[in-house]
Amino acid sequence: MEIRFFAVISALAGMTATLAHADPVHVQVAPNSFDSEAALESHIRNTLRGAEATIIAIDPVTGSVDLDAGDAAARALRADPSILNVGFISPVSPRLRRVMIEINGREVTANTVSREEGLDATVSGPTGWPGEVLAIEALDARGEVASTYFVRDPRFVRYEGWAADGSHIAGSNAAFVDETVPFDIILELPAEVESLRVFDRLDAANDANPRRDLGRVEISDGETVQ
Amino acid sequence: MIRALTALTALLCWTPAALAQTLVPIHLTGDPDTRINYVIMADGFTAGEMDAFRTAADTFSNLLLGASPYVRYADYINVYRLELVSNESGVSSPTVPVDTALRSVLGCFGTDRLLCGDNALGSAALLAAAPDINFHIRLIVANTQTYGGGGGFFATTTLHPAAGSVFEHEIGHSFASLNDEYEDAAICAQQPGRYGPPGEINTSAQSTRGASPWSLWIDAATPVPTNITTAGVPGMYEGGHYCSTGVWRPTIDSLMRSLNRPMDQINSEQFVRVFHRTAPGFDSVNPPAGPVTLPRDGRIRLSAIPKTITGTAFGITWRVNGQVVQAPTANDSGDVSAPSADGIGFMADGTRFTFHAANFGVGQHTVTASLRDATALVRNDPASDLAHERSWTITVQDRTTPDARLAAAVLPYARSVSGGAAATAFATIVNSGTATATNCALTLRNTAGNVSAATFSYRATDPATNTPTGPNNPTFTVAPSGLATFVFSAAFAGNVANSENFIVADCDNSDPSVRGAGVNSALISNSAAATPDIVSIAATLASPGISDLPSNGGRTALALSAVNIGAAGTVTLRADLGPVSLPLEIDICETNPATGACIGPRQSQLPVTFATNEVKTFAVRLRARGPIQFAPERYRVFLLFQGGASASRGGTSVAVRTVE
Repeated sequence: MEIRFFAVISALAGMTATLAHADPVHVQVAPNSFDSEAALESHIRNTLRGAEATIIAIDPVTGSVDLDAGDAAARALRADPSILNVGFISPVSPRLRRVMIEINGREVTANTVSREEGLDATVSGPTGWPGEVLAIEALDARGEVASTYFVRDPRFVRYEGWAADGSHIAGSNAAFVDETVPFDIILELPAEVESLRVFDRLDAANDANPRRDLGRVEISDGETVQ
Repeated sequence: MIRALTALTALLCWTPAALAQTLVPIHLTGDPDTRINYVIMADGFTAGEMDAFRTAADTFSNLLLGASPYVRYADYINVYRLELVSNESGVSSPTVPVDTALRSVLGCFGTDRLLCGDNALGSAALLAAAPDINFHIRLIVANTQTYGGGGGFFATTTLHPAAGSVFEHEIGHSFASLNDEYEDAAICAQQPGRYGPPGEINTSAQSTRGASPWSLWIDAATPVPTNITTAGVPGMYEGGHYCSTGVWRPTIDSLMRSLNRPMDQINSEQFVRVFHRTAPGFDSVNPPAGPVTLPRDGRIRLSAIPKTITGTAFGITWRVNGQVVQAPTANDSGDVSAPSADGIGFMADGTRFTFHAANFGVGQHTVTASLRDATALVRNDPASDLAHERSWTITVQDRTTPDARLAAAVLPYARSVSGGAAATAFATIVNSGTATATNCALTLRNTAGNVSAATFSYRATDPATNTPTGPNNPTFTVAPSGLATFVFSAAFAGNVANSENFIVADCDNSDPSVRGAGVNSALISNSAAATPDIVSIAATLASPGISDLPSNGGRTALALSAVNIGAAGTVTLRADLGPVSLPLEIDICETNPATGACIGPRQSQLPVTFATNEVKTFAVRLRARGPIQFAPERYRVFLLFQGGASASRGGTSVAVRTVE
């Protein structure tokens, strides 16, 4: 039996290069419940806890606040019951389609799959050791990168050496990837994506642009999901 | 329907003999789909050494669950041990192979203390053990006291006492995407090409207070750059991500810099964010989030079950079109004088909201259920990972409810016949609408909603005597708030086991009655040989047909009575939760029919031998380990009498829910 690794990521979960998405959001708190603009703004900022938003207008007398904010900020505001009303931002629900990328050594292919296939994913950020993370760029019809996904390579092995006092041993680090084992990734992609570019940073020591292209694949019609 | 559970634990304990492995949950908090799943895998342990692995697994489980930040989120985490039996004991070296299940090698890739399992074998073992569980933290424990380990998709470790801290550091990388905070001149000389730029989570190329990714943690009195040597004081400490200059780290010496240190604030914050990304704040919602259509006089009850922190659930804010319609209050938290500062408050009714279409009018409306973990462990949450919501888009149509509303019920739930004989059962159709349901007929449907393969017929019965009346397969009417009763038969030409068939009523002026396993279904088996055919019924304590489970972890009980109207034989009585996972403990004992006292041990399943026409009684104890919403068409306990190959020979069911 051939053993293959398998990972699935959704476009929304794995996307790191999302489009800037700011909409006007109207927020309403109880009139006169804050005694100054600063107090009301402080409450809004505390609720946001770092979620990006720009306050456009604020009035503690009427309890009205207008912001430019993305969905993360709106979600944080909606979770605060002291905010009586949050102008609703419709959840982003792009039409998606599922493709399976098969990585076998240096050969990359893509096939459409049904939504029943596949397992859950391990999604990562862009950083990692050489070979730890595979990057997948989704390209639109113009060949421009619409979004980038990062997936941990399950074939990756890391070593760090430690001294008896708990300190790291300089020069001890090592990393390996067993590329003899095929690796499949299932992606849910925005419908406008037409091709994928897969690369990693393996074998990139001393390279300021450490990128090893594994392949570029065109996507035929996949199953479209809502 | 495939019935897979006696309890959630039983689902996860299975032993495919060919693989010589057993997956055992050792810290189970809920449905794996809504949990962070941590698996500890044995390698190099023979069958006789498995107790040593079990001890090690407990140690590695406690290592995480007992430490910050995991301890607060213990209810988010399931821990399993995978008992893989190896042919030989120990671990391979590059020159001396040992026949172990995962082929671990200490000294792989020419590195003395690097321990590598065969990742492909590891993945295959997990897939075989639990194909539906996504394991987020994977640890292979090799059976040797020699120091060694490694990281990556699988972390590896040995039984050496220093192994634990290495493992914790490694999952800082593989689970939380944290950078190393130590310095290594040889690597730095190859930066940023070799390991990339600082990740801007726990290492940064920014040097100022304002630009720091962890600026919210830096006290105004703390100097930047920071040279404080006290542990755990957030600041901007130069050196990290392999370079001693040009990179800043948040504390003087965290676990991402040296072993046997705490994670410290900024790394813990990242763990909590990833906990929330991995395990959603809601365990379940009903109906599933998405579109809902209602007539203008309709209503729908929405429910959302939140996660818990140390046994207490998050409070939920309900909104319609952005407007708060139901909010958690101090009273909801159960402690008016000291409402939780933690964003947590248990609410008896706060998990449910009823949307009345008449209150909002024709058109499209969005209902959201929101919660937030306001833990002090997180100050910076730019993606609002700790805020969770589920939303429903409700379209109120400009029409009224159909005049008639139908529901159906079937008893007994399970029959077992032989030689293609017809299995019979009773059905009741209820009309809760305001008009007479007209021109109605019954059909028998399978689990996919299609017409059943069984030969089906029905007759009306006198509800007082159950005597059949009138012709076969009549059309009928049901008065408003009235009912109609029937006896029906279903016969299969060939052998079948556990064929679930639903009685569905449809009329000219109503929607078809909905299908609910255990409510209006009959589980039918047909075999060549005569078998037991056990008719059973369960009685609950208070609400008929509903077992109310105390939310405080107390037990409740059912009484089960059964008579065998088939051939004599031995069956197994077991409890089953259907296709869902519920946090339930269940045990069963046979009882003295006169006193109700147990006459045998309480067990998860019982072998029972029935003579023909023999009556037996049983007591079933249930205990909830978490909240269970009231959804009687989904959340039920089935009590099944099973013969060979798990074919049903009888059974019944009750709905379950937690109550205050």
